[in-house]
Amino acid sequence: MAVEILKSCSVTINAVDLSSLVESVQITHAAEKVEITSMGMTSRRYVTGLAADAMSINFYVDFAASKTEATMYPLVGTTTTVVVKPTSAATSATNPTYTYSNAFVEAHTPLGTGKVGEVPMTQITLSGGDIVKTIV
Amino acid sequence: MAKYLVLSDNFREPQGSTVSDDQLEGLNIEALILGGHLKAEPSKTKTDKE
Repeated sequence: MAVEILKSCSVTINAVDLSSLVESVQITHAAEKVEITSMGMTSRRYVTGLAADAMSINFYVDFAASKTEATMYPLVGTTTTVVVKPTSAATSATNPTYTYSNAFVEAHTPLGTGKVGEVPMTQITLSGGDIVKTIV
Repeated sequence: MAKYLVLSDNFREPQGSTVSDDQLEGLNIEALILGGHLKAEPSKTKTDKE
């Protein structure tokens, strides 16, 4: 069994490479279910509704030019494109690229939880749009 | 067609290069300018000299 240990995910937001500041990234590829159960059926039935893709990324805060704060702050409330790969190597069947287009940037927390003595982390939450997986 | 100078070293295109609108499709150009990644290049106007 080949188990992948994440060590060098590639994460670009709005075509800006912020991989070295990423602590974790969660991709949710989902679809809404719409119930069509009717009388006479003995179990519930569903059909596919709208896509409900989402993504959440935790970054170490960096206020330097062109890093997390400079890149993320202007994106809140707008849509952008996010590209994530398990490693920085070329796209392949074992290193697929997930391209999240028209992703709405819901929130950005510049100081994280703001606790004394802690490294500030910012969590970026994206929703809407579509995630497409490519292997070539 | 608007052109932009790449200022940062972590943008998709190399620092110091010039990119046009069509190369930035799907991206939020305003956020890239506000974030210090791109700078709008002044548009050149044609002058007819005889």
